[in-house]
Amino acid sequence: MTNMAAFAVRRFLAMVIVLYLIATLVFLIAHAAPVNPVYQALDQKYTPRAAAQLRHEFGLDQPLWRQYSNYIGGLLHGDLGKSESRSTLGESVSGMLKRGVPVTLKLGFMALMLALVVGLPVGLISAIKQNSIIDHGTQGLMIFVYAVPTFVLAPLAQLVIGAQLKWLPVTGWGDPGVLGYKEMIMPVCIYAAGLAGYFSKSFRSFLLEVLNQDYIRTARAKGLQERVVLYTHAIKNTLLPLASIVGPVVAYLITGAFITETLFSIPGVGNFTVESTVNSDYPVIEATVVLLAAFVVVVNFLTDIFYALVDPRVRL
Amino acid sequence: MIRSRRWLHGSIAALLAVGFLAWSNMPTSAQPAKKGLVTLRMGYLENISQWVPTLDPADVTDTTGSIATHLMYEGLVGLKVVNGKPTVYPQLAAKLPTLSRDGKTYTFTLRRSLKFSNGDPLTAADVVWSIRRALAASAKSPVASYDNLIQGFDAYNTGKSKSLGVRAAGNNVIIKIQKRASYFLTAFTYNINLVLDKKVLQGKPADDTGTYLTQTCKAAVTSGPFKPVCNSSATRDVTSFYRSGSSPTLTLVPNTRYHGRISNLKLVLPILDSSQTAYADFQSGNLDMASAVPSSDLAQWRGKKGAYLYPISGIEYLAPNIQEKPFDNVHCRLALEYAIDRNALDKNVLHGAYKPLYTVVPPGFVGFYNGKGTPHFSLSKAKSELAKCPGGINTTYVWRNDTPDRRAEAPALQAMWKNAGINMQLKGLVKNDWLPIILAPLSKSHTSLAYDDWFMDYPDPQDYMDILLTPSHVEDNMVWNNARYNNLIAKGNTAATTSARARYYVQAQKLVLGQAVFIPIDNFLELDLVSPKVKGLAPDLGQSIVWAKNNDWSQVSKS
Repeated sequence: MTNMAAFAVRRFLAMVIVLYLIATLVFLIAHAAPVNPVYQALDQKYTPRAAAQLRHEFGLDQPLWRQYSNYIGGLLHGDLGKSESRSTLGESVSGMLKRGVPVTLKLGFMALMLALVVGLPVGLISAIKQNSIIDHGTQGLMIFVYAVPTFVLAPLAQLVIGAQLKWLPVTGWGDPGVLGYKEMIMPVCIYAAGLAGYFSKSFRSFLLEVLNQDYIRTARAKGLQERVVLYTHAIKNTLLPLASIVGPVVAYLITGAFITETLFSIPGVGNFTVESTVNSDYPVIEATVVLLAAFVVVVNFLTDIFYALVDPRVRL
Repeated sequence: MIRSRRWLHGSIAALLAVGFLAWSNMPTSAQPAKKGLVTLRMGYLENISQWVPTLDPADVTDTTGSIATHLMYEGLVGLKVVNGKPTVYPQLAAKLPTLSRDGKTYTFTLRRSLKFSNGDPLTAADVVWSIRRALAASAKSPVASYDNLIQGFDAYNTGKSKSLGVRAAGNNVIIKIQKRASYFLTAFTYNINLVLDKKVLQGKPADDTGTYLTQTCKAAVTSGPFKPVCNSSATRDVTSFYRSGSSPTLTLVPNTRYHGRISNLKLVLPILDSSQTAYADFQSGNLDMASAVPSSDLAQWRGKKGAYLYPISGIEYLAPNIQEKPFDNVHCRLALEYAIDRNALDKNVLHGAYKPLYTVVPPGFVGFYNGKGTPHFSLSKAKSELAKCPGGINTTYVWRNDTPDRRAEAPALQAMWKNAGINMQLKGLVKNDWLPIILAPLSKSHTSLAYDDWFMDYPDPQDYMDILLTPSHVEDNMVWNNARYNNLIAKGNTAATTSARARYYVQAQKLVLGQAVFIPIDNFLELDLVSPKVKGLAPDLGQSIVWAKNNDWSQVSKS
């Protein structure tokens, strides 16, 4: 077996073990939570008799080890179980994910595109105008949007842009018949804001580092125009480190929308996850967390393989 | 060469961008808009996330389910507001029922040529089937007990008998009840008796019909003024009601086969995860109506056009554990109650969003009175009663901590008690930890004092006086069992005239309140906001929300 194949196998086995441990941990944490799914499902119709019946239907009257083996067995067979929340009671979790994942990806990729379109030029300008007012002003703004948490920025935007100025609606994702696409603007911008700040800061740092390299000084000494130095020599060399930060961000696109989706009533995986956690809807919690973990772990696995291909030292 | 590459990169980027935009904007299915309908976006379905908890009338325990089912279905009788009070009126019945001389048999005559929204004839057999289905043991309805007056209910509801006092006779529905009860018709307006299409649902397992109705749009063949717009004919998939990938929304259009006047409205009811979201959405102009405005914002809306502030059926009260120390002693309970300054609480802490309450029955109901005799705030009396309380009061108050108002109220109460020399620790619980405590005798959890609240199931004092304070109900968590009180309630429940009923209920309240067994705190006020462009909506005590005046949606319009 070549070094590369052995490395890939090792990494794959590690990925499987990580996923198994995550699945187990999620199961234990979900079942250790103080909220009882039976109360949630029954709400005002709670009676001890009805609770016992529902506990039996959910399989919660079985010993924990039996519930665990049923859960792991289901996962291995691709059976994610059925929802235990009242409104979606009995609905297949796979079906819920099928309609949630595209929404989350759509929100995530629109935010990513916007963040790149805004963050990179701002980082570029800051680097070129290093230590100028423009640099301090733009970086100050970028640090602000990066640092302010979504749960602060989103309600603030809803209040000011939605409620006060009445420019944009605050809910209603994917309702083109009534609202056009205006309802997407605010959540996409809010979600993109932090990313744009992150890209801008990172891109500025990468670019400044490159601009201080000897070969850039040489290029300038050769009399090349600053534009050529920048676009042909400097920016090209920032693309690899840039790719190394954009990759993980892509992985987190599916995981990072909990707050945005919840606050804007967007029916994505993040919203399901939060709602299922509140309701202690075990099958949905387990499925969404394992899905999110799998996405991150697989992207990391692919990144490791890619780096190993590019840089043989990694395989050792 | 460099120039041509740049052109190529630009073209690919543009194509990708256009492709992504086209994909992101692509509707998954076309939904032809109904021409000529006026769209109203209403914030009726709030504080839920995925979907309405249930669309099965036999399963409705919450406001959203009640609203949605009342828009889609009707029963033999319903409620509408007349002179500010909820009043029973005939819906599918041609007129109010005739009552036998012994007061135990109601005969309803259906309107002629009734039809469901799909054109199926709506007959007396459908009415009987709907009631029997809802009350069957296999349906496990949590609200079946609202019909417990019907003859044979207990045996039928527990699966021991197939006999139930409901039958069809031609165009009539005859209902026999076990004992004379003045509140029967009011209770009978509850959702559980809304009429479903037997042809569509017969044969489905009874324990699964609720889920089927909630998740299957095509099953919603309606008998009321509206019917849902379906996105697909899928079953057991909530996206049969709305486009997959969009925010969940229940869209209703007029049922053109409805027996009453047909409205011209398309009601769009988005699922809103919180009152705050609904409020912001209303302010942004995206909703025509929002309810449950935060009490902190009440002042800015008070008196404005389209802002409706009105008392609803909800009450907040304190439930002392009268089985255990210290509140097994009347002086300890009285000390607790005299120390509470309800006016200060409502004015200074709760922003005037509640009204002080000194009775069990809230205003607007038979049996409401001025609360004379109920302990009112008096620090000196509180201290005097505390002096007679053996060992004083040093215990814990268990309260529900899930709203800003309740989080403000509990420490304020604690401070008032402290002023009187009462040492009360606070234990705030989330709803799901609080619920099991108050739905069992307080002595079981050794809880000394608990926050409790109650919203009517139907607008009748029996729903408060009987359910909260007689021993056969789980809601009587104080385990108050007083023969004289029980006797007065039994008389109030069966008295023939309203004035006689009121007299018994007032006597009963004076008895229980004088001993501070039940400590009323306040009556909820509701603030609903309606766009000034919308006409024909008004506060409705039956629904506890703004609703079509006289239950007539054909008179609601938007300019």
